[in-house]
Amino acid sequence: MAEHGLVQRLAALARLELAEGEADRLERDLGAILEHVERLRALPLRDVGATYWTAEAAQGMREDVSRSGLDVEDGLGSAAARSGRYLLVPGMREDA
Amino acid sequence: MESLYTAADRLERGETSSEQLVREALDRVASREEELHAFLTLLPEGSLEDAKESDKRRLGGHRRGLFDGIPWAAKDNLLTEGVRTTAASKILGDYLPPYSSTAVRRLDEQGAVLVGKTNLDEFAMGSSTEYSAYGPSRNPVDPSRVPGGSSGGSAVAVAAGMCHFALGSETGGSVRQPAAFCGVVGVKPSYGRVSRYGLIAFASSLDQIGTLTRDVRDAAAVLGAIAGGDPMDQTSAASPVPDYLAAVAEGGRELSFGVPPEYMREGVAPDVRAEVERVAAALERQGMRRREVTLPHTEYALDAYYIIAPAEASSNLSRFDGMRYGPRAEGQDLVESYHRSRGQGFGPEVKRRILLGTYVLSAGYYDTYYLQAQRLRTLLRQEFLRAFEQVDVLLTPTTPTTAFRLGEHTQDPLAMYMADALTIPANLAGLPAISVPGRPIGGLPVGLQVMAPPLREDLMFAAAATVEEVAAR
Repeated sequence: MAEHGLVQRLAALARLELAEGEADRLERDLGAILEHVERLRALPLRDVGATYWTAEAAQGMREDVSRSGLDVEDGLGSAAARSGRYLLVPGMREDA
Repeated sequence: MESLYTAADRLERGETSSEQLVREALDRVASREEELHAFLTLLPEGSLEDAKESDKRRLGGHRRGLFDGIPWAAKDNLLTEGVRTTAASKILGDYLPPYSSTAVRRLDEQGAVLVGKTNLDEFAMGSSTEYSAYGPSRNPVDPSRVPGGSSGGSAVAVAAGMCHFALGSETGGSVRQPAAFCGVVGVKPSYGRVSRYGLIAFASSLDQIGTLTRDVRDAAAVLGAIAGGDPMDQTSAASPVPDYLAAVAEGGRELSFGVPPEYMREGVAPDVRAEVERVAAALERQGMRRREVTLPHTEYALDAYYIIAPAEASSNLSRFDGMRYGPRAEGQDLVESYHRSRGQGFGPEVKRRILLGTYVLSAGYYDTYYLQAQRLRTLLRQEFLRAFEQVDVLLTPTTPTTAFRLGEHTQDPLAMYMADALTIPANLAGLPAISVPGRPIGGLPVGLQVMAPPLREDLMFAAAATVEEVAAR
């Protein structure tokens, strides 16, 4: 069982509003999953290096040359709100 | 439904037209889509227009090759310019991408005709397609059962003859598992083999685009058409793409294989294990040499996956906040709008994984969970590479069971996660793997998995061709 209130704290970090009753359910689920992965935590792996990805022969970085990307109309085409060439978002300051 | 090759041959001989193929595909959609729900978006008018263009090219002697005029479908997490792309999530709404993914573009350039975008678990997180925000798909063999997931819609579309091939994506088995459940061939290429440019990211160290086809030869052709380095994806492999069709033609009789005991233990249904043993014995009779191999840390792969994948997902999905795409739920200020848009836009499984990922990456837990999982990944990969010093390929079941019933695992996330227990290791280690249909069990399809060393899809296809041949007997 995950500690009480954990899900609400994680939801705040993840900027995720939870509906009523959703947190209790998620707390149970997370508890069960974390209990399952306890076995992995117990393995003595301190001397083993980490593998973060497995690309065998990756492209490497592209040459640093300028090129045209998306134009503004394409980039803003799916935005919920816009003002001219800019995204329009709710204010983030008290005086906004 | 005929294979891609059969259709292409008939086109070449003038026995059919692309328009006719597309009309036949749309007729099958019309007759079964209400029951099976394979698609989120259908393109009847656009596909018929494209088919007519293809027919004109062919008649004018300008055919673009094998794929020209062939109907296909794309999982709805692959960006398609100007065509609605949802990732089966409400948070993207009716998003219209301004560009296409490299894999889609490569097929488009070869004249393939896109008939629609297929259903999936939201953001590819799931093993049954039941976590789609637009309702589940159903297994065409038994509609009371799931088709698997997350590329369930693509597997259904191919199995039900609604298209000749489809693309899906894999993070932990999302192509191979639905392929096994629906009785088609599913390929997860090596990490890096196919560009992910334009694939909506789930877990970036694991994601790969894969193929769903009627048979192994079609799979080799489709992978050959989309594989190869791409300057738009730094992780795509720069190395040349081998001739997969030559590998299929050669077959695997000269190869050696192993059946790791860790994939044949309790938890894998006895009749699934028996099918693998039946096929393994048949391969030996064909001349393939069987050797003992062992992969001792396999049992921890699922645990590592359910730390790494949610961790990366929690980061990747931070971009969905109601500002740049999809509907916005207004709040008092920017932060409250983020909370509301994400809370209302994401479904339950996506929220579960975002929270789990946030937890394992949070201060004090990173080393305990995330780093530990990446260390385990090193061991898994080392074990695979050692096994491949002994044998050319590995043969295992694709899934522990045949397709389960709708609703059977939706209340128990861990039970759902177990459906991917045998496919996840290949994703963690970056290996190519294929699921080939075995002999059905109780009328339900079952998958046989062949895994090969990194970037050795040629070995995988050669062995899979022989597996396909003996499994059908």
